[in-house]
Amino acid sequence: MMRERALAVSRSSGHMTMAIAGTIVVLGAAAAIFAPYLAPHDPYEVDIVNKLQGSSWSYPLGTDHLGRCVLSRLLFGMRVSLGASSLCIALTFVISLVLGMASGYVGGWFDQLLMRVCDVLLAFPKLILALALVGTLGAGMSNLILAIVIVQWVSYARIIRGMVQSLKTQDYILAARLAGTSHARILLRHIAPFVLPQMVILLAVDLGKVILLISEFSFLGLGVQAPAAEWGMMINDSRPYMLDHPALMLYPGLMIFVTVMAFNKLGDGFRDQLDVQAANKGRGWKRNGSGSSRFIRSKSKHSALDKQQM
Amino acid sequence: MAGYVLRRLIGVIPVLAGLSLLSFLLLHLVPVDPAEAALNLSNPGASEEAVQALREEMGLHEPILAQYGTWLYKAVQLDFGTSLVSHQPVGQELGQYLPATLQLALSALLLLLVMSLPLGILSAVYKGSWLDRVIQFIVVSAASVPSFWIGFLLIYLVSMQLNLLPLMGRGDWTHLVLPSSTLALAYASPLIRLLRTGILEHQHQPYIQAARLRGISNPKRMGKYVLKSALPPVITALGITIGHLLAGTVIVESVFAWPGVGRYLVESVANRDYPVIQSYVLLMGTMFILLNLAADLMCAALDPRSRLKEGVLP
Repeated sequence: MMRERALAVSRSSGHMTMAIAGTIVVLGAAAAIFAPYLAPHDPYEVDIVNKLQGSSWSYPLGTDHLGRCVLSRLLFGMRVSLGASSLCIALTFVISLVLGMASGYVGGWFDQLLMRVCDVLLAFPKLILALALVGTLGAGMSNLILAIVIVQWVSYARIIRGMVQSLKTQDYILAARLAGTSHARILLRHIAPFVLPQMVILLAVDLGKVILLISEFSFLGLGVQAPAAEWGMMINDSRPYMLDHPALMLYPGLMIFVTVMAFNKLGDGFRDQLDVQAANKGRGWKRNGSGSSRFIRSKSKHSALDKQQM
Repeated sequence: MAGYVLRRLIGVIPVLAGLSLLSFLLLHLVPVDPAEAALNLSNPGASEEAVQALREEMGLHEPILAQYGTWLYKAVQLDFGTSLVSHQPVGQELGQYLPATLQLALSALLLLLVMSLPLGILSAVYKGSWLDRVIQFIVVSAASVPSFWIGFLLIYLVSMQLNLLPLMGRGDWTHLVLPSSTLALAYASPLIRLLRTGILEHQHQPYIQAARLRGISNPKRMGKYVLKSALPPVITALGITIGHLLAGTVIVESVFAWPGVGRYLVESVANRDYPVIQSYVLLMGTMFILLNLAADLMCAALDPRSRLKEGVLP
């Protein structure tokens, strides 16, 4: 009883948070898409005479050490962060979906092999593995995205595999088999619709983590290469001017903070809702059903850790 | 218990083998030939014969499995090859930088415990109060902030504006405060969160109610009964966190110019010093695996349920 009441209270305040977080995400995406129209200046235009200026009508957030407009660079940085992290997530999604579903449905030696590969990849802190990959492949955005996808797909493929494994022994799947439905059709029409929505939420939630990771690599000089505008790199660039111009360091950090926070809050909210839905469907479903909500929940327990893993 | 320990120890072997294979194969991912890469650093424009000679010397003409065998045999004896840049043995260089990193990670771990245990307990005990909300806000914020930014903010506020602590570098304990706080802050959130959920989950269990009816005082009940059940997942997380603390030093060391293996790695990545990268991955991976093993064994000692076949709590 007490728990239910507490849940109801936290749910109503949760809706508010989610609305705010959602607005921030939408605004951020809009800023990224329309950056060329919104930015007051060319983000790459160097104007040494005009360097390190404070805010003015023409340069609302001032200029950096090369006289470039900080506001314009922040807006274009949103493009890089959201664009690259969405690409990472999309690639991760496709790879983990294909491998996870195949591994869960087919089983056998393929499944065994894939799970051993997962074991090894999961035996690393993600940051180290990504560093090693970028280190050997060479710095740069495309290599960074590749490295992130390689370290990310594992945990999702595992979740999908688990979901598919418990789904394929369900009565309705067996019935479909008996009716002569092909494997491809079962996977596409009877299993995928169940797996997809949950995966979309899980992955969308992790956009925040990926944004953090990209900024970390760019800070180390291994991600986006100059002169492109990226928040982590902007913070690193502002280093020598920190004492006299702390704002140069402050703005990009705030951008990362607000964006990642919005994604994290949104993710927590979605997960709670999935949990509530699962609980509403009754105990029987939870006990011997596909247990998808169970996977989501165990994932969410992990993801509190995962957030830092990277 | 002995059976569980044995099972876990045996389970670690294939993972270690996979780790070594992965670190070995890393070098063969390199878009250019390793021998050419090595020569490009020391002697750009070397002749084809020189490259061939080096290939022979590095054993690159042998079948890949034989190369792996030789490499592993040497690595087990702590011989990780020589750095392409300094021409020093990599093992020796890593050994030289490792103490600084371990010192940083250990003091961060200490801070992490001092910080997250009380915060986790307080936010569970005073659930829903303003204190809990403040702590929750800190937890969510800390998980959304890049650690290097926190580091710079601390440098700006504490070192530059207040002049309290040294800016960067390694020296006496005052140099240690900012980097280890940065590192600890970056990894505190999941621990606080786990501890809070754990306590809340167990607080209203019948056996805790029974303890309360028996008149056992609040602090004692919390310490002896609730915490004992809430801690195992936290310990597991701690094992993972220590590994991440070690990995996170890469960034914090770059921020504070801390002379550890993390900064050495970033330099090596910039120089494309492949043997160093390879050895670093092997070293960190091994430490990570062993730390997780230690955490699992500790949990098993604390909570008999986790010794069950799957190693998963029911």
